[in-house]
Amino acid sequence: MTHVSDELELYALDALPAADRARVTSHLGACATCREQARRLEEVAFALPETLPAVDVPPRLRERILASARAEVRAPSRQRGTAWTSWAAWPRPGRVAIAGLAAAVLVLAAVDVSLMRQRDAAQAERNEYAELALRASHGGKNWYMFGVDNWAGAGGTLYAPGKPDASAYVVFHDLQPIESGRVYALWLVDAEGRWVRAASFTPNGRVTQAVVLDTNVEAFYQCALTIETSREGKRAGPLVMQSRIAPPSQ
Amino acid sequence: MTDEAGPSDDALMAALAARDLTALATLYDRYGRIAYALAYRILGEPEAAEDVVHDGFIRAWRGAASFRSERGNVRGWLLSIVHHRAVDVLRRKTTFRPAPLEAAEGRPADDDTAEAAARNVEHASVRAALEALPAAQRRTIELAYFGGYTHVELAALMGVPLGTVKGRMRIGLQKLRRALELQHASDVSR
Repeated sequence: MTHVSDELELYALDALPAADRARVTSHLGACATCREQARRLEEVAFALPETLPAVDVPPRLRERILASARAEVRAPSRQRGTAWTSWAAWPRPGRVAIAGLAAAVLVLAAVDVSLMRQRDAAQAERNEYAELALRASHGGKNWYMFGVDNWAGAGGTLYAPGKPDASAYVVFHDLQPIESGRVYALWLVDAEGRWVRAASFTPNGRVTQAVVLDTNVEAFYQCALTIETSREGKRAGPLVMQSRIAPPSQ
Repeated sequence: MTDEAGPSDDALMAALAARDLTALATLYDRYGRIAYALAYRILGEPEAAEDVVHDGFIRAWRGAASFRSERGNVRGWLLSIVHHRAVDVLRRKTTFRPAPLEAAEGRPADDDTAEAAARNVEHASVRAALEALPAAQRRTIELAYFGGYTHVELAALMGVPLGTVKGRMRIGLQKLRRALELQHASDVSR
């Protein structure tokens, strides 16, 4: 095992490029010696913010954080009550619901860009997104994908209507722009861990974005989003968001 | 850290893992201000800092179950999330080019930071330890931690070899650690 002692000061100060930081982080997961050295250096780094002057914190920030957390508490509990249970017994949302959702998303997308940049307006759209998505689901499968690492705060919900000829669709929120020549790739994961690409798309620059899938999702247990350099081919790019593995059907 | 007026940080993390919103509010009341000060120092923009702190606390909320106290304390864990996120945002929106050192030092409120921190009696010991470092070591540490520069960028920026940048960080952090340990020992003996 090659230790990373020479890079731990850089690691503690966050002065490594992302790829090198990831490599060191991986090593620390397996090496107790380096991990202890890193911990001692990070203790020093964590004292540095104490040197900063007091600043006025926006009063709304506290409630904004709590509102986001509260929404996550509510959303999973609703999913637990509907997802994977008596799937066929729920009313079929069909194309009307999808059309309604798509229209609503288009209305959201038509909102003036400058207005969307205002924090409160964007938050209101996200709240509306959640309500629309909930109304449109009408049962069936729904998986929520949480943004990971640098994409924390973004997310998307995959809805699979309980009607055989109805298309599954995903409504994303807070997708970040990506570099030219790259695409977001949506993957479905089956019980054996195989990743199947279900869609490739580029972000529309809005707070919300709907993507309709051609693939039947019934045989899959999980979905995920990555960034790829091609619209076809195997997964090679970084993970943006991923749903939890769904429990077996009841 | 244990707040005399409330639950310990570890207890808060256990409550967070159980999806207790009150625990999240308490955690924010305890560390929201310093987290925001850190994000604001790095990004220099109130809205960007707010977004970063929001994302940091939500990541803590989601990842509370994975927190391991033996690997560090809650404060450090939370600040590392916010710091890493802020630096990432800064690097995404900034194309770094070697610039005159004076320009780099003019990034958000170096002078203001020093003056205002001098008034901050509670944390004067940390500031004093940092101020006591040789200028090159202090500058290297501050530009890396608060400026978001990588060691390669710092070498170009300061016109010194990579090894010199690493050496300044290593010696500077060692001195800071020693100073903080002495300060802690002094506080305990009083």
